[in-house]
Amino acid sequence: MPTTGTPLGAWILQLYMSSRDTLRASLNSTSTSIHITFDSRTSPEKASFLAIFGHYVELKSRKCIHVLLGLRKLQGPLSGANQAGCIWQVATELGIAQKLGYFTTKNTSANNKALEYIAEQSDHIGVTFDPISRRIQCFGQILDEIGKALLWGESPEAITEDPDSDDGSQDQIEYLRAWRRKGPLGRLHNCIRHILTSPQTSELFQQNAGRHNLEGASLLLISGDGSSWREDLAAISRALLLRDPIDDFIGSTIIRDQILDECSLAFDELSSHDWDDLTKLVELFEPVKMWTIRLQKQGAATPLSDILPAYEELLSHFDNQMECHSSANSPAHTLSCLNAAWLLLREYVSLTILLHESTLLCSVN
Amino acid sequence: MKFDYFENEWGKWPAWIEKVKNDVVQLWKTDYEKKPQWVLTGNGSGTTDFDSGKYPPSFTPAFTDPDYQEAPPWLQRKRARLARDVEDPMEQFQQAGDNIGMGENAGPVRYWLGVAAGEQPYGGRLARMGLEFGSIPGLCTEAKWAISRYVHLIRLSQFAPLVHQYPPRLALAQIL
Repeated sequence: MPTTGTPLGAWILQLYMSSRDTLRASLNSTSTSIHITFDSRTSPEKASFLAIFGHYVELKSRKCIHVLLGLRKLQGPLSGANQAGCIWQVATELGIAQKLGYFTTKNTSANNKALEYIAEQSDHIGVTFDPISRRIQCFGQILDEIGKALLWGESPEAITEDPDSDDGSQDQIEYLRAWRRKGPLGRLHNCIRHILTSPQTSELFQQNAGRHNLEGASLLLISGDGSSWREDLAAISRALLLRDPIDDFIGSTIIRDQILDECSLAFDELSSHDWDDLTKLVELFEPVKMWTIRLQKQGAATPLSDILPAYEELLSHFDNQMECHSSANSPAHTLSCLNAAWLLLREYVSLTILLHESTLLCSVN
Repeated sequence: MKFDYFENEWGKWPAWIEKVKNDVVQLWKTDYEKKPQWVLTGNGSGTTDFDSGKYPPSFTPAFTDPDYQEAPPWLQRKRARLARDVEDPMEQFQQAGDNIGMGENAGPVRYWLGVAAGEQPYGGRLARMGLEFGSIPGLCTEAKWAISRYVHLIRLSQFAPLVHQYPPRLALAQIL
């Protein structure tokens, strides 16, 4: 049993070095390319870290391996060159610099720069590396962007500033107005925000909900603020469950307050047509939500070739929805969002050309 | 042909399908066709080069997959003819069409490992391409999760009494 931390640290480093040798041997035993995924994050203590994963087929065990190649602290900014320098160092240390295959990363300019830097370094050792064709868009991020576009349209930036000022101030009014411009979704947001604004109103709502014989009457409302589409979607779905209590609460509040100013809930009252629109909006998300959950479960074990069915399903779903919403009396906001999501998906389908090449080679039936 | 799948399912995008076809063939010709031939050795410990300019022995149809063994004679003859007539492995793979089966539980990687081991006539170079493409990850979430998962281990203040140095914490995170 160690009496101080020093030998423990040494033991850990020793174990790390031996694990690294095993990893190096496994990497060197394969003659196929090693694909890379990487991501960086800043810890709560404001230190930046870069995680680099390798994905390859280990010929000895005849299995697909997904392994952490390095977890490094980044010195300096989270720039592309800085990250690429770190990746290149790890690749050189493990002896796989000549075997680098495709890079699946998020669609950011820093990652573009990182791949350009790796191409330069590869060139120095006489290996051809095309930073554009070797770049694969992370499908998780694509789904996220589609979700945002579907909810917030062409301007997915959220109205995250929630001025915690006194009622009636100009900022407060502007905030409410901005959300109302988003249609039923914005009005629902304002209603939920009003209900959750204080413990008293929240409790009043709960008591009101308890009087309705609803299955989810005891559930709490969720407050989405536009920063995450998943949370906003959860907020809408929960609100749809509690539709009657919300309507009752708004109605009684309007009657009780009797003050019709910009902050009044009267401007945010949801009609039955609004509720229908919200129901349709949730339906629009079905395949996006389903694929997000499915891919979260699979994680790194999801090969690129498995993503083609997701593209197929999403494209077909959006095609059908575009047709339905064009002919029906759909709100302009929903149609605009649908269009934005559809265009985004099409763009990514074109960008992810290798996805299809991969599937082409992998689909033998 | 494997392209049938795209023509049936993605028929709305003819220009795009044409591009994919060209890209695949181009990629095969530039990156794989000229590489040394290799097949997976029996014990899986590595690969053996077949640099004689010929395709692996299995090219003269020595099919070992159960699908082939159980296939009716006309299908076996057809496969043999395909194997003789077409010399380019990529074309051979495309023409094999529905005659080759992956089995219900077999994934692309397992299928291409079988090809690399000589189970199909078009052999090693194409198997290398198939394996490399079959192992490309579609997501980069693992890297993000890794940092989130281990961030408590690598925080500067936490575990300070346990591990004095910074590198051991990173090392510990990687080992775990």
